[in-house]
Amino acid sequence: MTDRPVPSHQMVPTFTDLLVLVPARDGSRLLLIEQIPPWVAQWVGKTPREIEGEPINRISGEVMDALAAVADDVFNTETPVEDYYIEFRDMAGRERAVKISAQRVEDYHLSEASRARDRAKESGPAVLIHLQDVSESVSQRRRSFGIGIFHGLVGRSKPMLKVFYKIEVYGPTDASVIISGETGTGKELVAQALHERSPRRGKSFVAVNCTALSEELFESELFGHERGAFTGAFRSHKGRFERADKGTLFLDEIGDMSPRTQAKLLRVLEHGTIERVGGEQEQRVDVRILAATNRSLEQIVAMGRFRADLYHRLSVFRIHVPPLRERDGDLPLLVDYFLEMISQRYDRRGVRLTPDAMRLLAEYHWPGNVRELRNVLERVFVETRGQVIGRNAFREWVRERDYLSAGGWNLERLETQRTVAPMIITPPESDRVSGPGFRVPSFPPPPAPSRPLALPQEGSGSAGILPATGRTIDAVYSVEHALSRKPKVLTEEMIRQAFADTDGNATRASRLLGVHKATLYRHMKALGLSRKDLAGTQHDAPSSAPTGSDSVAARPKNSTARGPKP
Amino acid sequence: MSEEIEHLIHSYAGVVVVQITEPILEADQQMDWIGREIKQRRPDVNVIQVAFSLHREWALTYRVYGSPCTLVFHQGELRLRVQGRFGREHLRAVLERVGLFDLP
Repeated sequence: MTDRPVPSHQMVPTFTDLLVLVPARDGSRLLLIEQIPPWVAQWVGKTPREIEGEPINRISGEVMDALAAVADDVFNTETPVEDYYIEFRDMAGRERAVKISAQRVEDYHLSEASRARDRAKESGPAVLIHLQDVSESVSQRRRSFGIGIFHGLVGRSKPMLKVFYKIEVYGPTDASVIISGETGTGKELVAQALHERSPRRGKSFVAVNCTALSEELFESELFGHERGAFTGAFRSHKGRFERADKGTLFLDEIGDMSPRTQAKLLRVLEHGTIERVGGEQEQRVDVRILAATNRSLEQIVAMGRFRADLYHRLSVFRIHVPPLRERDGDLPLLVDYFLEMISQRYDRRGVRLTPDAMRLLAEYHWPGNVRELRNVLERVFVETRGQVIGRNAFREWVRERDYLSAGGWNLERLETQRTVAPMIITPPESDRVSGPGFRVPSFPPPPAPSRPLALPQEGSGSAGILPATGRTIDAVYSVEHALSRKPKVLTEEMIRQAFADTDGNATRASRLLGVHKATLYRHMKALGLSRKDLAGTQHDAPSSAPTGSDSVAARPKNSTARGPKP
Repeated sequence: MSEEIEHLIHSYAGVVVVQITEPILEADQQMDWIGREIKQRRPDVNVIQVAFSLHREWALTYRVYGSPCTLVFHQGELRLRVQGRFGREHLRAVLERVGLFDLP
């Protein structure tokens, strides 16, 4: 370990991974490099001989700045530093990481060279910094954490790093974990990762979807049944608990479990035994429970639909998987990852998205999260023949999406329009709001035309050509002249008039008013107007109630369209 | 993002403890208890956790070049910087030394 003879009187031997700094004798408070490992000097493009005796803060290089800061603190506060990680770039621009521990010693015996150089005493205070090159392991961890080959979970956003970290910490324990998150966020992947990180990884990982099975079937599925236990039980059946013995049982959508099954599950968790349906003997099982929910379990407990004791038994640890819209910067990674995966499946390599298409995806709210993204990419991948997927490839998906956001799936109308011609719905610029939670999922506005658009009239079925750009405009609905493109206030009278002029058609009324349909609904709600009220103002409106999809009340809770606040 | 941290430090009249960590590092993972401990005993102290890789530039302004690191601010002024991993006793000692608050 030593690279030079160690004098017998020297208390601290000279290790090849030890940086020694001593205070200058001139009262300048500078710390001089007494000894530096050659491999550390190399990071700043020097040899030890070149920099020994120099003040550390005068040696340029990221790592020297960091070491100088640590040394200053340790020398002045006499507080040792342990396991401090510094990441930096060396002279060659390579990313490196060093783990250091530092402490101040009072009777460090100076080398002869140092004494000669500085006319110092034989011994004095010094800061000893022990360095360990951890570049390889840190970059490996960063790769696995950052790029997302973390058990199939892709992401390097802060909330996802937190999820990875929790998986690392909770994985090796035996405690139950509740995994919460919206649909499509990857809760089952998190559960699998927890299993993989646990000592149970060699054993079974068994998943059960609590919503997919009826209560009777669920009990039999979980605990198994004996032959003849009920009609149709021709043979005995091993339940999921038995199959997961020594392994992990993942209960998906646990919030939907019936009260009776909850009681049985609690009993299993408390006693570690199960009893098959129709069986007489209890059987010991060793299972770790992971549970997932897309609803607030706390709320369900408060409503009395989930047992509080079971909730407390399960929620030892909690992992919340963030929705895609909250994962800043993860979208391009996910797109690359899925495209690569899909390319392999369809044996068509090198397919990529244009920046424009990527922007389109980034503007979306992603209510279906990562699952929706994966499905959309697969769809356009299959539909597109070329190697580059552009914005237009997403046209149909955008159209369907807009229908969802406009207040519900009006499938009948969607189908009718699909048979006539494809359509792009472009909301006015005034409705396009950026920022999380306030996105109108649609195409961005087309380039400003040199003259007003002349769209074909409803029912014409023919596509018009936009003269300024040559782009095909294939909308098939009529467009009235908007009253105002950016109305600050929509009065009741304006809304009534618009409905009257458009025969109660909300979509056309919103266009007439120059606002997005969602904005119109919001104003209607604020003014206490319902479609029923407005039906009366139509010129020849039917007296019946409007269709559910056009009704404000019928608007689904998960609707994604949100316009600017009035 | 870093502006928000700076704003919080300067707008809060009391003590702000900033834990600079890097979730991928083991030593940093072992530092989670500090925030909990302080928060539990002194709810008036504002404890925030920031990822070093996301706030590197901001951290450098306080001469923080790595992680984990704990900074203690009082009335917007940096009063203490503890670099590296440390235990309960050490934390108690350094916080007492800074004279801002005592932990029982």
